[in-house]
Amino acid sequence: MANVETMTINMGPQHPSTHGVLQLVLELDGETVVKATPHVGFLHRGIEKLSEHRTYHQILPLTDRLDYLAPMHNNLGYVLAVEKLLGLTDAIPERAQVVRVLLAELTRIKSHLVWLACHALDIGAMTVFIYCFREREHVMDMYEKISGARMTSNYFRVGGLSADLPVGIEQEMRDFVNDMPKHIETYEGLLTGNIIWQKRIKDVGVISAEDAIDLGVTGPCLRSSGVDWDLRRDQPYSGYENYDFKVIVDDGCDTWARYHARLNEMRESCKIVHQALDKLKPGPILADAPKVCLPPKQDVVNSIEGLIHQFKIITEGFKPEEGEIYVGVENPKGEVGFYINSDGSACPKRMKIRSASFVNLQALPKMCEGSLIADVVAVIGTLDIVLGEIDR
Amino acid sequence: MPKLIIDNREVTVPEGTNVLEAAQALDIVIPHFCYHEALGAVGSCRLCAMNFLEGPVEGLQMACMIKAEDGMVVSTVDEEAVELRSHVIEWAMTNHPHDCPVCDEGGECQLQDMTVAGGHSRRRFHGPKQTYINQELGPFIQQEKNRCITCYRCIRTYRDYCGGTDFGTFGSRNRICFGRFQDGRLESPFSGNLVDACPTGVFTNKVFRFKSRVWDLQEAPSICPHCSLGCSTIPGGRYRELQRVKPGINRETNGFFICDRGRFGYDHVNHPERPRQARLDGQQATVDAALTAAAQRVRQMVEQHGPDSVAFVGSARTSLEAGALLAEWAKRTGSPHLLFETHRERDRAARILVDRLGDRACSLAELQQSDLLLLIGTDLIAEGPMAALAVRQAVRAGAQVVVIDPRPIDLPCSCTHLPVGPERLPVFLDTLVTRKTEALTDAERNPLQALLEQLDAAKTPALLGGADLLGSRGISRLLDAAVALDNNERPVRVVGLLGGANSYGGALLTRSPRDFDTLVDDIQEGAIKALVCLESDPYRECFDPARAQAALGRLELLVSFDCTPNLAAQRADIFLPSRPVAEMAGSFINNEGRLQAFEQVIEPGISIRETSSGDHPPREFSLETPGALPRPAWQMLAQVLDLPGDLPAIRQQIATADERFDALTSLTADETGPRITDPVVLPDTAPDELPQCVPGETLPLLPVQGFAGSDWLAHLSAPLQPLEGEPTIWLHCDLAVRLGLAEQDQARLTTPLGHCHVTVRTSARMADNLVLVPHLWGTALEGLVPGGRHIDCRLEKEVNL
Repeated sequence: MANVETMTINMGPQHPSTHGVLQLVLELDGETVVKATPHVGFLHRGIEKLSEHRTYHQILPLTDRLDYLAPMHNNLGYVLAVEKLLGLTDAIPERAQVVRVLLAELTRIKSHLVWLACHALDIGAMTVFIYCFREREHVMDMYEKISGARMTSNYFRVGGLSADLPVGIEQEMRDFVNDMPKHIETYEGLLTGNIIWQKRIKDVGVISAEDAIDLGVTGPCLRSSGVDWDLRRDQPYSGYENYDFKVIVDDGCDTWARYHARLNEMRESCKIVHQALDKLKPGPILADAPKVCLPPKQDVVNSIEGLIHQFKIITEGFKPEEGEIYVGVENPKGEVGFYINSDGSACPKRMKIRSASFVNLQALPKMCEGSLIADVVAVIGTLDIVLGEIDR
Repeated sequence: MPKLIIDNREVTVPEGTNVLEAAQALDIVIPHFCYHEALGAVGSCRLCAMNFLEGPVEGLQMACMIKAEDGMVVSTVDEEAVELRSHVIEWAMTNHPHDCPVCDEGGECQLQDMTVAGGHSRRRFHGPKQTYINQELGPFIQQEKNRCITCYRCIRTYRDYCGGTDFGTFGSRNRICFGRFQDGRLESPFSGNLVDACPTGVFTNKVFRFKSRVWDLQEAPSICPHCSLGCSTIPGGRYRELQRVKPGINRETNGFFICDRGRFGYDHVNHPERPRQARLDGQQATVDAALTAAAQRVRQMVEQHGPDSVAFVGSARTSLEAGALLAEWAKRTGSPHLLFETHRERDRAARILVDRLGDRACSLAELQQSDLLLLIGTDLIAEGPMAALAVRQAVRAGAQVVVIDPRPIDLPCSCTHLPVGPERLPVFLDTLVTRKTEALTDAERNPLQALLEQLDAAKTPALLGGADLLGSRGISRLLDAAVALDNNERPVRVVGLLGGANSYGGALLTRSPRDFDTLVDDIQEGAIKALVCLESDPYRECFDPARAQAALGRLELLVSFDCTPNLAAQRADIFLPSRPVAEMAGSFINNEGRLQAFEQVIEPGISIRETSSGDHPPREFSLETPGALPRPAWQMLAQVLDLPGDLPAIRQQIATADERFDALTSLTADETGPRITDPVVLPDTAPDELPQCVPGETLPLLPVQGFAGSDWLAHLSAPLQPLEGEPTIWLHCDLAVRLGLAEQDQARLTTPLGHCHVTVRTSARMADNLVLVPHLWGTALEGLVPGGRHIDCRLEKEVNL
């Protein structure tokens, strides 16, 4: 090719379509993207460094703010890692495990709703955005009733849950997942048959299975390139092996495939929620590990023993043995993993967070080089990235 | 050396070790309350249960009460033992109040730690908790009886270890509590140790109460600056305020405890009038400008009037590093005048002691092994309180103590006291050296002969003497006595109580054979025109303050480095604000020659205070932290000398220049330091002007040190104010009768220096025919400095108005 003059433009970090503070430096030949370079770090808050100076209980609220669209899932990944480090995995009571699965799947629905809303909005379908956020409000309401906060739940604890589910929430959950398939139909009705939608996302953002694996892509992006890999089935945690659900695999490799994959995942999540609600039985919600788990508030207020344990665990923290652990969970966006290295003290020596979006973002240049600039918007949407998780 | 197996690991321990200690040697820590290394084992808490699987003892036993023996096989993790321990905790918790959120002990509480470690977490007992009424125990100790778990540590500390008598056990069976016989200030000068000994929050530090949670404190290992014993401390500060001091553990010196003066004397660091700004000719200046001016003017003085016209004076409270740099400055100017003690007798005594002490040096730990202790001319509670505690431990192990002193000496142990006038002390010392008794009175002869026999028979004798009453001649004679009393089997140890934390170091550094009083002569004549004072007070802390003050007014240049508002700081032409011990790193050499390092605890600055009653604080902005200008004295002196200003470089420099201080380069604060024994520049012989109290026309007055009120730094500490009391004098009961005075009478004391209103105290255990006056800063008694010649006085009963 003869010397082609390219134009380098800056997309972001302030940009409605970058889904956060992401800067893409695009080298354009006309409207074709010759090179795309993501610049990240604008939302870096030092969560991993902060963790080195916090006790394991104190780190938990920080994890909410990683993938802030799926807070309970981050909580889950973190507590599973700490529990494994402590050897408590088998001591987690049944009810806690079921509630964890229940809320993880509701979180998946919540996260995918945001994905669809923002993806569609970027492409131009504003109605879908409004509709999805309306459904998301229901989940946020449930979050608030369960954990006290709409978004930053901080609900799970090392050893179980911080509090039991409020009375009546089960019916609310059931109603929600009963209605959800209808809503998904509505979204499909607005988008799937829509020629503009099809033209904008079919054959856009193609990534082969080999490339996806090479780049470390995980989650729906990986599965839509034909790779049958889901941690819930292949490295089960929190009792996932006891649930009946399909792993959605599609070998379309493009945005269209990913679109369908996530919609179907939402449907599967509704099924899992039904099963979990059926499994829910009364029981303890915290493992019997008084040196690790915060005692129930009643014990703290009514007994000196509870008070002392609360005092020591909060001010000093528990001290796992020296060692290191890695646990990955199937976050809505992909594999989110927590690597914790303990030096025997109350704070981790190092906590490294394997962020799904960070790794998935690496695929962006592959997926949009050679495409039009308008496709970049679609690719960002289909990757379903969250800057909180990328930058930590 | 018994060899035993604990948790499948073998360990060999010295004879007499108990199994709990044997486990600790393997880094296995069993939950326990009442066992304490210094207090011993009593087996009252029942927590340290281990299962003895094999050997001469079997079954569940309290590990602290069983001596380790060959062939024992012990398990600490055995199920039965673990269960028993959790039940013992449960039992201890039945009556424990719900106080953690309001209890100061939280974070340092052995009860909290053991409860979690013991594995008891769910309460089964739902009955009412036993409660007690608390007592008021004085300004230092806060009592909360409900938190007691009857481990008896308080009793074992206060009564057994520290020898206090006003504190004891009340009740019996399951209604036991501990307290004072009636509400009132705890009398022991070691009462503060209750705070550390109590494993729960029954006894907490009242001065520190509610100020900070302990994990918020900045702490670092330090050395107490209040006497020459150099006890290890751990000061703690927060928000630019030094908030408390607790003992550091040093098994060679203070062990696990400190005295109340060391514990509550820290507040001089926060004193509101502490000078924090450099001054140049009466105006505020930057530290750098003032340092440049100081260097320049001293140089000019030397150029114009010769090196003899400048004198350099340090003190016993300045760090070794600062002292060494002051010496370097003196050397560079060529001035021969370098001293580290403005008090003549203390200076001379320190130098003689350091020169001759050598291997006779005796640490507090070694003192506890003595079987015969002679305390001559020393009041340990005033001059070195922790030495009194060490003496008590020796007595508990069977030692005898003989005290020869004019003062009504209070020791926390029984002793034989010979109360004689100070002029008799040299006579007694001569007798110990020569064994000739001609100069003794009839009443004195028998006791002295008995003492000589005891000394000869003793296996580990020790002689203790104080610089104030013995002076340099007396200290020298004391060392002569030690030599004379040596035998082939053992040397006689000597302990000298010196003026301050670094008296020994100062003696090593001093280069002038003259003492401060002769320097005062030169200043008076105008031969010395400039004085550089390093953290010292030549106006008041000397043999004859009135004479010194008159002379010092004639100086042309006074440069002062200090962190306290003394006269030198106020009157200096050039003033440099230095830092107290807690705000810097450095080292001291204690009275037995032990070099010890201290680390910085906090940065200087005006304490952060809530000033606006809940409103927004005043919107003042500054690039500098308020009150943060003071610098370590060694750093400022390094700047004057153009040397690198970091401590490792300075220490290297000092060690290179003076091989006596080789150990400085590898010194750390967590080891007990090495001993330094080296010759010093001895003072010129001078006529003895020791305290003489010969009865005659007038009444002789003997100023002495008191436990509170005589140490300048401790005087500046607000928490110790309640101990200082009113000006007081002491009379023998018979003398009081002859003078028409009675205990607690108000009297008027008249001396050539002026008069003072005093309270009369009487005692039968002191020398007759003299008046003792404890030195008290901040009162009219301030000018009566201990260790001076005796002063004539008159005492008249004050007429009631």
